Amino acid sequence: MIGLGSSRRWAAAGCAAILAVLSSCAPHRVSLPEVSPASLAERYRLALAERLERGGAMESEVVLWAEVAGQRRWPGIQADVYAAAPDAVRLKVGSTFGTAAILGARGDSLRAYLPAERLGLRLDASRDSLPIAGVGALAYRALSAAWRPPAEAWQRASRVDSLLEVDWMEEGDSLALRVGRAGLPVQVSGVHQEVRWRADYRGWDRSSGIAWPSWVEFTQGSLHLKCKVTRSRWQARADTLRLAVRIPAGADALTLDDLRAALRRLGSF
Amino acid sequence: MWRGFGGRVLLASVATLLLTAATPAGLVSTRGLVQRLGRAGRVTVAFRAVTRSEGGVRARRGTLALEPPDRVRIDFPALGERIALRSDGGEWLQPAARQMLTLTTQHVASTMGLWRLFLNPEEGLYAERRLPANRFRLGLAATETTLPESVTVTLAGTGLPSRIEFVSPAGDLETYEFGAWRFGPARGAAGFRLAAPRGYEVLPMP
Repeated sequence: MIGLGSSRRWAAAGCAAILAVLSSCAPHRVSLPEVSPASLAERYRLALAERLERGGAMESEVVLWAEVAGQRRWPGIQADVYAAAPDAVRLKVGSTFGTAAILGARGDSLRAYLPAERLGLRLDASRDSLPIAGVGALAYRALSAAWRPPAEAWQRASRVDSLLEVDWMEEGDSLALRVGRAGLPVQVSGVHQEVRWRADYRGWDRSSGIAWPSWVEFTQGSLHLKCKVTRSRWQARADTLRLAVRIPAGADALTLDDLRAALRRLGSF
Repeated sequence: MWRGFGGRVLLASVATLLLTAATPAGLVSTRGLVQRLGRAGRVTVAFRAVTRSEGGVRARRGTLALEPPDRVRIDFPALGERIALRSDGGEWLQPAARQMLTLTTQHVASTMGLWRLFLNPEEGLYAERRLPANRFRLGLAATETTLPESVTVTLAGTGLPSRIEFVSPAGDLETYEFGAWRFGPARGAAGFRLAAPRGYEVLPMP
């Protein structure tokens, strides 16, 4: 039989045990060993190689939220995206019944078609004197995080807090990449014809066995675009038919002035 | 009291008969469904929607509910996505974006789509041509750009649609394969009005 004093001792021992367990579960301040720039660069190259090995094309379901500073909040847009290396992306925006819009960026050109309105848009960087050169490559690389700093850029890499920053020039554009401890991009920024842009990688999906961007945010001027990527699938080779944006012969053409007016209404430029 | 109630029933019956008699014969391909829906008040059906576009096939399973004269509801259980349409507006619940879009009467008019064939056959949207094997080709007679120019309807032995097929304005081949149509009494507008779950943003459809 256990007496009162014994009960107290048992209770005290029990409390001590619980406290010990709880304290062992409490978060400890652990300082991780710093990873050398060379190791981070190596981790980045390995992760990039895994992404690139996935194949020449990728299809995903995305939700896009576009925000323009000072403007009312727009709803998210659900779309199917098909992206192919090195510079092509096609976006098919769903509606309650069918397709609301098809947008394609390939090289220096942009195409869009709105089936319900039978309205088409064709833009080309050089023909229309627009700062959209390389828009297809930018979209593909942003979605697949396929940023490739040259070897010498890694040698100049510098620390920014816990991140490693690499900057380099590419076809006249200035690019800067910040890499986290896992060797994955955290942020990429660039200047293209005096237009500044930035892509932030907020989330990664590892369910396919490799890390793939699942949440990318793109900022250019007052435009902020959030992109949630799900259900990604890869193909060894791109299907060029799936990259086409067909604008029927009878469709009305949206002019550049119409587009500029629309953008002014949005207040983004 | 009884006379009052009985009188209203009689009046309603006569009115129904008159309305039925006044309704044009409509399309053969939709007549069976329209007539049974008119008598019952509500129909639900499970479907498999397949979209075939360049190089890709996408299939989704859902359920469709119709109540004349103007109520449509589509649920995609796997995704949690729902669409409710009424003549006074509608809602589109999108779990992937954690949002619910509210639709105006103008949105509803353009998103009712083909379901108007079953709800408002007197609209005369399509002209019909019979094909072999219980199939019908419907050609767009109205000047609307939101509707497909041509629709192929296949009827099952029951006289109800088992499949509809059309090329969407975007150029995709869309197929709806229907299961068993289930008729029942109308449940009213409340079943065609969606509420946003907690944490969802409610925004007007642009």
